[in-house]
Amino acid sequence: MLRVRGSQVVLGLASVLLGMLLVFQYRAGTGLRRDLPPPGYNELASHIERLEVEARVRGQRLEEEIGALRELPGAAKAGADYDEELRLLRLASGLYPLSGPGLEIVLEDSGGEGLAFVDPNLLLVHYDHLLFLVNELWVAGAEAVAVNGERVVAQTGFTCAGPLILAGTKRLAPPYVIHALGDPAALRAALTMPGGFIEAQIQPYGLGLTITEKSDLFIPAYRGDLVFDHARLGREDSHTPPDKREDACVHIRAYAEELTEDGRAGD
Amino acid sequence: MIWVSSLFGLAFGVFLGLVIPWQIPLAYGKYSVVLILAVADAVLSGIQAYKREDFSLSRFGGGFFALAGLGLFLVWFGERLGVDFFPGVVVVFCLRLFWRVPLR
Repeated sequence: MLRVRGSQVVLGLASVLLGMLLVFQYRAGTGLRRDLPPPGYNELASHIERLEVEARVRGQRLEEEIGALRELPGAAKAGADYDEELRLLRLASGLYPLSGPGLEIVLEDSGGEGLAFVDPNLLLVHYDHLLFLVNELWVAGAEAVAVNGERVVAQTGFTCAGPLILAGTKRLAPPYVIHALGDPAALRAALTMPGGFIEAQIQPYGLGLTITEKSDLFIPAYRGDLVFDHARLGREDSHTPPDKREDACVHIRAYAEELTEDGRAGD
Repeated sequence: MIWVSSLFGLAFGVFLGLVIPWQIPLAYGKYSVVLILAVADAVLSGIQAYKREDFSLSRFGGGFFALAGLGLFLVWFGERLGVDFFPGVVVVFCLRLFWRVPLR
């Protein structure tokens, strides 16, 4: 009887071991299934891989095409033409810092006390003084103009802002120093001609004015914005079909941004 | 009576397994399968012997350890040799299990 019982206990213990092992194994099996990638995963992965390879191949083909186009006769010449055009455009739009002979004009408020009946406003330098002086300089053949180190370009406007004068968005304070590149003698002659702007509008009010001929002036590049939000290429541009005008404008804007970046980096 | 104690032991084992938060590492999956089959075979053979009233602990334990040891060794050695003995071992154990079922 005792022996029988002992065998029962042994068999029961073996059964316990069997049950535990079954559960552990079951867990491992289900865990294995849980860790498996979802169905369709491999197809997706291979699809992505195929697309990546395709993209790489197409990119290589495009690079080859670009290289072939560069090799074409005339490509280099066209590139050189563009470089020259780019240089001229940058010169014309004031994106290059320049140096050379020219005039330095210093303009200051009248130092003396005016007569009691004279409007004190007449004894100050106003924005229109600068405007007219710069205008005189352009007319006299100046190639580049800067006021207090601010390059004057086609879009630069002079404004009165209380005690200050604005050139574009740059604030100017006296003394106003105008630098102009060009033939110094010719510029001076044009400014000081009898009956000219200086004789008529500046000297009578006793504004401080000194004109110096310089052999080596430095004029910085234009650092302001180049924004063309509303302007489109005009109809006279027969090279640009009407449906391409928008693109051309975007192209010009990107081009202008690139130039500004270069101008800043060059400072 | 012997069925009751075996089933009770099995249920208790399942309960213990559920309580103990462990699973067989994936690398040892084959060995645990062999071990499970060996234990199942031992339990069934023990029950049969008990019914024939010639249950012997030494034969039960010795048989179990010999069979399980041989099966595990074959699987392990097969992996070392690059020959998969695992299916063969499983087939043998399953045959033993099926042959224990009395059909008459």
